[in-house]
Amino acid sequence: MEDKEILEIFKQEGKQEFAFNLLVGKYSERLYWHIRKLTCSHEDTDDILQTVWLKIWEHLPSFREESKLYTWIYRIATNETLTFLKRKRIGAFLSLGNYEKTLENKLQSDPSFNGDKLQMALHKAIIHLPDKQRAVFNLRYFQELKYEEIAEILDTSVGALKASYHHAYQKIKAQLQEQFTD
Amino acid sequence: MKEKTDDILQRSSLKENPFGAPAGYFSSMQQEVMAKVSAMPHPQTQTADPAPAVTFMTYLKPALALASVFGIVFGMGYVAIKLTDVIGNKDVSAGISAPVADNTQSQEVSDAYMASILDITIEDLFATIEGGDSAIDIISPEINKETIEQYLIETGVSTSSIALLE
Repeated sequence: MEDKEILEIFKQEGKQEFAFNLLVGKYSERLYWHIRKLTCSHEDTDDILQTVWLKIWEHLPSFREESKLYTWIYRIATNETLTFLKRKRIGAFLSLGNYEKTLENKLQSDPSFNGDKLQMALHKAIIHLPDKQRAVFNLRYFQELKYEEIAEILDTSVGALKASYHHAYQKIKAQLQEQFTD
Repeated sequence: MKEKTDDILQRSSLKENPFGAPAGYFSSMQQEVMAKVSAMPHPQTQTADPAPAVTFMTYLKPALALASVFGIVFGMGYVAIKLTDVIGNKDVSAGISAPVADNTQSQEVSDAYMASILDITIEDLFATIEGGDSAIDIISPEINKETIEQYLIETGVSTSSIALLE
Protein backbone atom coordinates (compact mmCIF):
# COMPACT_ATOMS: atom_id res chain seq x y z
CA MET A 1 0.00 0.00 0.00
CA GLU A 2 1.23 3.51 -0.84
CA ASP A 3 2.19 5.92 1.92
CA LYS A 4 -0.48 8.39 0.82
CA GLU A 5 -3.19 5.79 1.19
CA ILE A 6 -1.95 4.90 4.67
CA LEU A 7 -1.98 8.57 5.62
CA GLU A 8 -5.54 8.93 4.33
CA ILE A 9 -6.64 6.00 6.49
CA PHE A 10 -4.78 7.50 9.46
CA LYS A 11 -6.82 10.69 9.13
CA GLN A 12 -10.10 8.79 9.38
CA GLU A 13 -11.80 8.70 12.76
CA GLY A 14 -11.10 5.47 14.67
CA LYS A 15 -8.66 4.07 12.10
CA GLN A 16 -5.44 5.57 13.41
CA GLU A 17 -4.13 2.37 15.00
CA PHE A 18 -4.99 0.32 11.94
CA ALA A 19 -3.12 2.72 9.66
CA PHE A 20 -0.18 2.92 12.03
CA ASN A 21 0.04 -0.87 12.15
CA LEU A 22 0.32 -0.86 8.35
CA LEU A 23 3.14 1.67 8.59
CA VAL A 24 5.03 -0.33 11.22
CA GLY A 25 4.69 -3.47 9.09
CA LYS A 26 5.92 -1.64 5.99
CA TYR A 27 8.98 0.12 7.39
CA SER A 28 10.17 -1.78 10.48
CA GLU A 29 12.56 -4.10 8.69
CA ARG A 30 14.22 -1.35 6.63
CA LEU A 31 14.59 0.88 9.66
CA TYR A 32 15.94 -2.02 11.71
CA TRP A 33 18.79 -2.67 9.28
CA HIS A 34 19.55 1.01 8.94
CA ILE A 35 19.85 1.36 12.72
CA ARG A 36 21.57 -1.99 13.18
CA LYS A 37 24.40 -1.07 10.81
CA LEU A 38 25.05 2.03 12.88
CA THR A 39 24.83 0.49 16.36
CA CYS A 40 26.23 -3.02 15.56
CA SER A 41 23.94 -4.41 18.26
CA HIS A 42 20.51 -6.08 18.09
CA GLU A 43 19.53 -5.00 21.61
CA ASP A 44 20.40 -1.34 21.05
CA THR A 45 18.66 -1.41 17.67
CA ASP A 46 15.50 -2.88 19.23
CA ASP A 47 15.39 -0.15 21.90
CA ILE A 48 15.96 2.64 19.39
CA LEU A 49 13.45 1.26 16.90
CA GLN A 50 10.67 1.06 19.49
CA THR A 51 11.40 4.62 20.60
CA VAL A 52 11.34 5.73 16.97
CA TRP A 53 7.90 4.18 16.38
CA LEU A 54 6.48 5.79 19.51
CA LYS A 55 7.79 9.17 18.36
CA ILE A 56 6.30 8.63 14.92
CA TRP A 57 2.93 7.78 16.52
CA GLU A 58 3.10 10.94 18.60
CA HIS A 59 4.07 13.27 15.75
CA LEU A 60 2.34 11.73 12.73
CA PRO A 61 -0.74 14.00 13.05
CA SER A 62 1.54 17.02 12.65
CA PHE A 63 3.23 15.58 9.53
CA ARG A 64 2.52 18.23 6.87
CA GLU A 65 3.30 16.10 3.80
CA GLU A 66 5.86 18.67 2.62
CA SER A 67 8.33 15.80 2.32
CA LYS A 68 7.88 12.12 1.55
CA LEU A 69 6.63 10.07 4.49
CA TYR A 70 9.49 7.58 4.29
CA THR A 71 12.17 10.31 4.35
CA TRP A 72 10.42 11.81 7.40
CA ILE A 73 10.41 8.38 9.09
CA TYR A 74 14.08 7.81 8.19
CA ARG A 75 14.89 11.25 9.54
CA ILE A 76 13.40 10.44 12.94
CA ALA A 77 15.18 7.07 13.00
CA THR A 78 18.54 8.55 11.96
CA ASN A 79 18.36 11.41 14.43
CA GLU A 80 17.41 9.05 17.24
CA THR A 81 20.31 6.73 16.38
CA LEU A 82 22.84 9.57 16.06
CA THR A 83 21.72 10.92 19.46
CA PHE A 84 22.12 7.43 20.94
CA LEU A 85 25.63 7.09 19.46
CA LYS A 86 26.60 10.54 20.71
CA ARG A 87 25.45 9.63 24.22
CA LYS A 88 27.44 6.38 24.07
CA ARG A 89 30.56 8.19 22.84
CA ILE A 90 30.35 10.72 25.68
CA GLY A 91 29.86 7.86 28.17
CA ALA A 92 32.89 6.04 26.76
CA PHE A 93 34.96 9.24 26.82
CA LEU A 94 34.10 9.92 30.46
CA SER A 95 35.04 6.38 31.46
CA LEU A 96 38.30 6.73 29.46
CA GLY A 97 37.10 4.11 26.98
CA ASN A 98 36.99 4.00 23.19
CA TYR A 99 33.52 3.63 21.70
CA GLU A 100 34.87 2.64 18.27
CA LYS A 101 36.75 -0.24 19.90
CA THR A 102 33.55 -1.25 21.73
CA LEU A 103 31.65 -1.30 18.42
CA GLU A 104 34.42 -3.32 16.80
CA ASN A 105 34.28 -5.86 19.63
CA LYS A 106 30.48 -6.07 19.31
CA LEU A 107 30.84 -6.69 15.59
CA GLN A 108 33.47 -9.39 16.02
CA SER A 109 31.55 -11.21 18.74
CA ASP A 110 28.14 -10.92 17.04
CA PRO A 111 26.88 -14.49 16.51
CA SER A 112 24.35 -13.31 13.93
CA PHE A 113 27.06 -11.86 11.66
CA ASN A 114 27.47 -14.30 8.81
CA GLY A 115 29.57 -12.32 6.36
CA ASP A 116 33.04 -13.17 5.05
CA LYS A 117 36.36 -11.53 5.94
CA LEU A 118 35.93 -8.79 3.36
CA GLN A 119 32.48 -7.89 4.70
CA MET A 120 33.84 -7.88 8.23
CA ALA A 121 36.67 -5.57 7.13
CA LEU A 122 34.18 -3.28 5.38
CA HIS A 123 31.96 -2.93 8.46
CA LYS A 124 35.01 -2.40 10.67
CA ALA A 125 36.20 0.37 8.38
CA ILE A 126 32.74 1.99 8.47
CA ILE A 127 32.86 2.03 12.28
CA HIS A 128 35.87 4.35 12.16
CA LEU A 129 34.03 7.03 10.19
CA PRO A 130 32.37 9.93 12.05
CA ASP A 131 28.76 9.02 12.98
CA LYS A 132 27.02 11.32 10.50
CA GLN A 133 29.35 10.22 7.70
CA ARG A 134 28.55 6.59 8.58
CA ALA A 135 24.87 7.38 8.18
CA VAL A 136 25.55 9.03 4.80
CA PHE A 137 27.68 6.11 3.64
CA ASN A 138 25.13 3.47 4.74
CA LEU A 139 22.15 5.25 3.20
CA ARG A 140 23.95 5.69 -0.12
CA TYR A 141 26.02 2.51 -0.37
CA PHE A 142 23.70 -0.12 1.13
CA GLN A 143 20.24 1.41 0.71
CA GLU A 144 21.14 3.18 -2.56
CA LEU A 145 19.05 6.24 -1.74
CA LYS A 146 19.37 9.32 -3.93
CA TYR A 147 21.45 12.22 -2.64
CA GLU A 148 18.32 14.40 -2.62
CA GLU A 149 16.56 11.90 -0.35
CA ILE A 150 19.56 11.62 1.97
CA ALA A 151 19.77 15.43 2.06
CA GLU A 152 16.14 15.51 3.20
CA ILE A 153 16.77 12.85 5.84
CA LEU A 154 19.90 14.47 7.24
CA ASP A 155 18.88 18.09 6.60
CA THR A 156 22.09 18.80 4.69
CA SER A 157 22.89 20.14 1.24
CA VAL A 158 23.39 17.73 -1.64
CA GLY A 159 26.86 19.17 -2.30
CA ALA A 160 28.02 18.55 1.26
CA LEU A 161 26.62 15.01 1.12
CA LYS A 162 28.41 14.20 -2.13
CA ALA A 163 31.69 15.42 -0.70
CA SER A 164 31.14 13.49 2.52
CA TYR A 165 30.23 10.27 0.70
CA HIS A 166 33.13 10.58 -1.74
CA HIS A 167 35.58 11.11 1.11
CA ALA A 168 34.23 8.12 3.05
CA TYR A 169 34.17 5.93 -0.06
CA GLN A 170 37.80 6.68 -0.95
CA LYS A 171 38.96 6.15 2.61
CA ILE A 172 37.25 2.76 2.96
CA LYS A 173 38.30 1.66 -0.54
CA ALA A 174 41.95 2.44 0.22
CA GLN A 175 41.78 0.49 3.49
CA LEU A 176 40.18 -2.57 1.88
CA GLN A 177 42.44 -2.55 -1.16
CA GLU A 178 45.46 -2.41 1.09
CA GLN A 179 44.24 -5.50 2.93
CA PHE A 180 42.76 -7.55 0.09
CA THR A 181 44.65 -6.75 -3.12
CA ASP A 182 48.30 -7.08 -4.16
CA MET B 1 44.63 -15.08 -0.96
CA LYS B 2 44.43 -11.50 -2.17
CA GLU B 3 42.17 -10.61 -5.10
CA LYS B 4 42.87 -7.96 -7.70
CA THR B 5 40.03 -5.59 -8.73
CA ASP B 6 39.76 -2.00 -9.91
CA ASP B 7 37.31 -0.96 -7.21
CA ILE B 8 36.90 -3.37 -4.37
CA LEU B 9 33.75 -1.61 -3.15
CA GLN B 10 31.95 -2.42 -6.41
CA ARG B 11 31.82 -6.11 -5.57
CA SER B 12 28.16 -7.06 -5.23
CA SER B 13 28.84 -9.37 -2.28
CA LEU B 14 29.79 -6.35 -0.18
CA LYS B 15 26.35 -4.82 -0.55
CA GLU B 16 24.66 -7.93 0.86
CA ASN B 17 23.46 -7.75 4.43
CA PRO B 18 25.74 -9.89 6.62
CA PHE B 19 23.75 -9.28 9.82
CA GLY B 20 20.94 -11.46 11.11
CA ALA B 21 17.97 -10.82 13.37
CA PRO B 22 16.43 -13.33 15.81
CA ALA B 23 13.73 -15.52 14.26
CA GLY B 24 10.26 -13.96 14.44
CA TYR B 25 11.69 -10.70 15.73
CA PHE B 26 9.86 -8.38 13.33
CA SER B 27 6.36 -9.71 14.01
CA SER B 28 6.91 -9.73 17.77
CA MET B 29 8.38 -6.22 17.64
CA GLN B 30 5.36 -5.00 15.68
CA GLN B 31 2.99 -6.45 18.30
CA GLU B 32 5.04 -4.89 21.08
CA VAL B 33 4.98 -1.47 19.43
CA MET B 34 1.23 -1.66 18.80
CA ALA B 35 0.61 -2.68 22.43
CA LYS B 36 2.54 0.38 23.59
CA VAL B 37 0.71 2.59 21.11
CA SER B 38 -2.69 1.33 22.32
CA ALA B 39 -1.73 2.24 25.88
CA MET B 40 -0.79 5.78 24.82
CA PRO B 41 -3.35 8.55 24.33
CA HIS B 42 -4.42 9.01 20.74
CA PRO B 43 -2.47 11.82 19.06
CA GLN B 44 -4.48 14.93 18.26
CA THR B 45 -5.28 15.58 14.64
CA GLN B 46 -4.29 18.89 13.06
CA THR B 47 -7.86 20.24 13.01
CA ALA B 48 -8.24 19.72 16.77
CA ASP B 49 -6.44 22.97 17.67
CA PRO B 50 -8.86 25.90 17.54
CA ALA B 51 -7.45 29.29 16.61
CA PRO B 52 -6.68 31.35 19.73
CA ALA B 53 -9.21 34.13 20.42
CA VAL B 54 -8.06 37.67 19.53
CA THR B 55 -8.55 40.05 22.48
CA PHE B 56 -7.46 43.60 23.34
CA MET B 57 -4.53 42.11 25.26
CA THR B 58 -3.35 40.36 22.09
CA TYR B 59 -2.54 43.78 20.60
CA LEU B 60 -1.48 45.41 23.87
CA LYS B 61 1.05 42.75 24.88
CA PRO B 62 3.68 43.49 22.18
CA ALA B 63 3.41 47.25 22.84
CA LEU B 64 3.87 46.70 26.57
CA ALA B 65 6.81 44.44 25.94
CA LEU B 66 8.42 47.07 23.69
CA ALA B 67 7.79 49.83 26.22
CA SER B 68 9.30 47.79 29.04
CA VAL B 69 12.38 47.07 26.90
CA PHE B 70 12.84 50.82 26.28
CA GLY B 71 12.33 51.47 29.99
CA ILE B 72 15.01 48.96 30.92
CA VAL B 73 17.46 50.34 28.33
CA PHE B 74 16.96 53.98 29.43
CA GLY B 75 17.11 52.98 33.09
CA MET B 76 20.41 51.18 32.55
CA GLY B 77 21.76 54.19 30.62
CA TYR B 78 20.71 56.59 33.38
CA VAL B 79 22.31 54.48 36.08
CA ALA B 80 25.50 54.15 34.01
CA ILE B 81 25.72 57.94 33.51
CA LYS B 82 25.09 58.60 37.19
CA LEU B 83 27.73 56.09 38.23
CA THR B 84 30.40 57.45 35.88
CA ASP B 85 29.57 61.01 37.01
CA VAL B 86 30.09 60.15 40.68
CA ILE B 87 33.31 58.28 39.98
CA GLY B 88 34.59 61.19 37.84
CA ASN B 89 33.89 63.72 40.60
CA LYS B 90 35.74 61.60 43.13
CA ASP B 91 38.78 61.44 40.87
CA VAL B 92 38.89 65.21 40.31
CA SER B 93 38.42 66.20 43.92
CA ALA B 94 40.63 63.50 45.44
CA GLY B 95 43.90 65.47 45.16
CA ILE B 96 42.41 68.87 45.98
CA SER B 97 40.12 68.74 48.94
CA ALA B 98 40.43 65.76 51.22
CA PRO B 99 38.57 64.48 53.11
CA VAL B 100 35.54 64.80 50.87
CA ALA B 101 32.37 64.95 52.88
CA ASP B 102 29.95 65.74 50.08
CA ASN B 103 30.49 65.27 46.34
CA THR B 104 28.42 68.31 45.40
CA GLN B 105 30.35 70.50 47.81
CA SER B 106 33.70 69.19 46.63
CA GLN B 107 32.72 70.03 43.04
CA GLU B 108 31.99 73.65 44.06
CA VAL B 109 35.24 73.96 46.00
CA SER B 110 37.33 72.57 43.20
CA ASP B 111 35.75 74.92 40.64
CA ALA B 112 36.44 77.92 42.84
CA TYR B 113 39.95 76.73 43.42
CA MET B 114 40.56 76.41 39.69
CA ALA B 115 39.08 79.85 39.08
CA SER B 116 41.33 81.34 41.73
CA ILE B 117 44.41 79.86 40.10
CA LEU B 118 43.49 80.95 36.61
CA ASP B 119 41.89 84.35 37.04
CA ILE B 120 43.00 86.03 40.25
CA THR B 121 45.73 88.61 40.02
CA ILE B 122 47.49 90.62 42.68
CA GLU B 123 45.26 93.58 41.76
CA ASP B 124 42.22 91.46 42.52
CA LEU B 125 43.64 90.60 45.89
CA PHE B 126 44.06 94.26 46.84
CA ALA B 127 40.73 95.15 45.32
CA THR B 128 39.18 92.55 47.57
CA ILE B 129 40.93 93.95 50.61
CA GLU B 130 39.60 97.39 49.80
CA GLY B 131 36.14 96.72 48.42
CA GLY B 132 35.44 92.99 48.31
CA ASP B 133 35.29 90.58 45.40
CA SER B 134 32.97 87.68 44.94
CA ALA B 135 35.67 85.42 43.43
CA ILE B 136 37.89 85.82 46.46
CA ASP B 137 34.94 85.66 48.79
CA ILE B 138 34.25 82.14 47.56
CA ILE B 139 37.68 80.97 48.70
CA SER B 140 37.68 82.78 52.03
CA PRO B 141 35.48 85.69 53.02
CA GLU B 142 37.77 86.45 56.04
CA ILE B 143 40.82 87.37 54.00
CA ASN B 144 42.46 90.73 54.79
CA LYS B 145 45.67 92.71 54.24
CA GLU B 146 47.58 91.04 57.07
CA THR B 147 46.85 87.50 55.91
CA ILE B 148 47.93 88.40 52.35
CA GLU B 149 51.18 89.90 53.60
CA GLN B 150 51.74 86.88 55.82
CA TYR B 151 51.11 84.59 52.85
CA LEU B 152 53.48 86.51 50.59
CA ILE B 153 56.25 86.42 53.23
CA GLU B 154 55.76 82.68 53.68
CA THR B 155 56.00 82.08 49.93
CA GLY B 156 59.34 83.95 49.76
CA VAL B 157 58.31 87.39 48.42
CA SER B 158 60.64 90.02 49.79
CA THR B 159 59.28 92.73 52.11
CA SER B 160 60.48 95.46 49.72
CA SER B 161 58.34 93.96 46.96
CA ILE B 162 55.37 93.85 49.28
CA ALA B 163 55.96 97.47 50.19
CA LEU B 164 55.97 98.36 46.49
CA LEU B 165 52.59 96.73 46.02
CA GLU B 166 51.12 99.02 48.66
